[in-house]
Amino acid sequence: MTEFLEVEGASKTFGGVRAVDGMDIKLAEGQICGLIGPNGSGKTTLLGLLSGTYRPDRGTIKLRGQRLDGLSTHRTVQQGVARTFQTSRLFFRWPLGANLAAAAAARLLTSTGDDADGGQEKLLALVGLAGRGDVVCSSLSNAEQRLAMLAVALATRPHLLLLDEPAVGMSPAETAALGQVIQRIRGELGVTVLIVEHNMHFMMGLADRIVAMNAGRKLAEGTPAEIRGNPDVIAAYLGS
Amino acid sequence: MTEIGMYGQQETRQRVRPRPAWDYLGIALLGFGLWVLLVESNSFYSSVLATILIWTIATSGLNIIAGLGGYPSLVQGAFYGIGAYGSALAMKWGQPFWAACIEAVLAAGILGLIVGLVFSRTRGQYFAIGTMFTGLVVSLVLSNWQSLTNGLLGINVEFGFGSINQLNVVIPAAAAFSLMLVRFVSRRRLGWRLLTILEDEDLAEHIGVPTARTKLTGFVLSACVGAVAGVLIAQYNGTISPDLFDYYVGFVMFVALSVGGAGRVLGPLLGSAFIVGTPDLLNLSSGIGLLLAGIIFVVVIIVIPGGFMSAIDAVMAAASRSVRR
Amino acid sequence: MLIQAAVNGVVLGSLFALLAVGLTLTYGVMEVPNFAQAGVITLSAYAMLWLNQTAACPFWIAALGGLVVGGVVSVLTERIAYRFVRTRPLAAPVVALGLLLILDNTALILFGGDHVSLSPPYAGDVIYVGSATVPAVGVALIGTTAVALLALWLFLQRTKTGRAIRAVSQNAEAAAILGIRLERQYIVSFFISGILAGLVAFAYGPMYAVYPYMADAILLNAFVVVVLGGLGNVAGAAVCGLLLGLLESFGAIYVSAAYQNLFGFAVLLLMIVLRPAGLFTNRSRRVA
Repeated sequence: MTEFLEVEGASKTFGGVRAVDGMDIKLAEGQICGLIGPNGSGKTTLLGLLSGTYRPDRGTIKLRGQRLDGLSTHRTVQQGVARTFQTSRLFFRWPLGANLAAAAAARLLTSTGDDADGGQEKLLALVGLAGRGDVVCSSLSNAEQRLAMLAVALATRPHLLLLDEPAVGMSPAETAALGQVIQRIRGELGVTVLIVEHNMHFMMGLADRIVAMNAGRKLAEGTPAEIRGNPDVIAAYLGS
Repeated sequence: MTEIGMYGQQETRQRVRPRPAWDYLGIALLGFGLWVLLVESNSFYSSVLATILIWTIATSGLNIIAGLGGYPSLVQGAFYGIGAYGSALAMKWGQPFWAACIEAVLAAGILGLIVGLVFSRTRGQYFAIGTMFTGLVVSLVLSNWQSLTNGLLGINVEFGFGSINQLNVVIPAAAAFSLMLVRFVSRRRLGWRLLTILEDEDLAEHIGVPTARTKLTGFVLSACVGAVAGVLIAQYNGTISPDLFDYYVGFVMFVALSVGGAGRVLGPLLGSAFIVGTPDLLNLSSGIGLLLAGIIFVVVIIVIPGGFMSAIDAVMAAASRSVRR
Repeated sequence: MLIQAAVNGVVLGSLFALLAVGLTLTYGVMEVPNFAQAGVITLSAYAMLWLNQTAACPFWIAALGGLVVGGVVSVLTERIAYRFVRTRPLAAPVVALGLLLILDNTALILFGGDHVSLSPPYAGDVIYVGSATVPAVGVALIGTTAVALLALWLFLQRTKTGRAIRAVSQNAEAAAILGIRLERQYIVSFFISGILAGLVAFAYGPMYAVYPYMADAILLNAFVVVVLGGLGNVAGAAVCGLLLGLLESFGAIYVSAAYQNLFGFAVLLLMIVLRPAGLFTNRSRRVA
């Protein structure tokens, strides 16, 4: 049976440093998977490989059996992969609605960005920004901007959503709300989610599975409970 | 819900835009008015206006890659020159006028493709420097290629139109069409894709915009429109020489666009009118005219970064606020 | 033949290096290309001319006066114009053109457009290097460049202000956090750049002629050097200036004089595409 996401032996070297070294990951559709590891363990690079920003030096990446490795970023998006970033990235001078319209139009889902079926409102409601479509993004608060970035990624109707430290800079209340949003993304939209996060508490309550990385390699894999008790993982974090 | 519009270089205007048909009608009327001005003025003002209109075409083309896309192309002068020399030489070699035009535009498009590919990974100030020096290389090669272009002496251009009257209609019509073209492109996929690239190219790529292809298309389109302007200046002047597309022409065209309002439909018209008109019309001893022009460039770009168009916007916004009270 | 080409190359290279170093200094701190430098050179040259001929100052006093004028005018361009467009790189070409028009045409209005000669006491002398000849003004150029580069190097390496400028040039944000007052560094950089422009006027003016657009053409070559050496990299600019001078000189003699500039420009295009950060910079590029 073809897994939803299959990463086999992916490696990426930057100027002599092996950022990612022979990673294997398999995700089933509809899973929420957490990716943890100390700084420099290669998590963001792995996201970059999955989103098409980098081409793996070795190994393959397959989404529903289709090869993703080697595709440019925009083609990867066309294949149904979307990502968010560690720092808020939006078209800040534009209203939120325009951001969403651009993302939807880029997937050729609409021709000029008209919002005929009210899909924008549903998306905004899903992430908790209902009615904020006319606000210029630079005027949104930090937490709102991160949710907006999430909405923009979702507007491309992805099958796989890659989140890069989505909870950065959020208060505990905002983080909890984010967790619920991610659950709804999986539940209502059927999107598979891969989250890179440092906030262990957040991850433990949210993820179905966790993959732990260290120095570009997979250190351990399992349920949150299994990972929490894994001595190698603990050592990696304490030692780093 | 908001749709993607032409936000230009300033803050989003929240007011609802009028129906598109009005814009095109307005530009058509403008074109008609310019034609009347062109044929009714005495020969001095008429020739200044003709030059302004031809520059409008070239800078309108530039508006696509530089105004909408945000890529500071300083090489538009080279495509302008290729349009002029290409059409003139093609006619010298026996081509009928209409074919010569197409060939010149095609040549510019091919050069645009090559330059666009060469600089496909170059951005910002490096793109500016790179395109400026490309223009320099092109003009150097062509002005030294004596056998082809007769070097600094220039060549005479065969008149391709039926009559001067025809030319006088085509020039303002082409200027109007070039403005309409930008208006059209900006509302279409190419336009808003370029706008996303202007805002944040990497983010655009991450929402699925094929940035490389979009930039290239915009650049080639800009080049072709620039060539059309070149064809017309050759026809209008009757002779052309290499200083027509010296490297600084591309530079000045970019300045004209910025001062008029980059990314705005009428920006090229205002900017060209200013750049071409000020030295000619102020008619002071040449030093003072250019000195004033320099001062105005600096003041305008510092005080109204969005160019004349954004100043007009501000005035109209203030006026409509006071009307509503 | 070979020696003449080499000698010409060193003279030309010194000119490029002197010009490029002045440009790269301000490029480093504000990331805006300062085309107006040509205008500063022009006004500096005219100041020297005026002091020497109309005010009857001895040549060396006039030269000094010209340097000061260069420094002051350069600072003025920063205070009046460049200061406002630091955050808007797309406005820079417009400002640069505007300033150039202002400066060149001020010279035109004040002094007229005729080509005038600036004659130092040693003009007309010629020195022999093997079978090659080099005019004394050429030697003066080489000497000026050497002294200027040395002085600049000492300044940037050994003085507090100099080190501050290097810090700002590498990372303005970090420098500000460290307490370095950015405004002051910009002003100092522009002043030094203006002095360097004055030195160019002093060395280059006698070689050709003084007229309002005297520096516009060589500015392009200087630009090539600035990019090759890495924007903001003073040492890179100096080395690449010399290299470019030699390259163009040999190209002109052995290939074609008409296309002399072409070599430099072609190299620049190659650099922009392949290695925009310059030959010598090891500033890391932002990844994605």
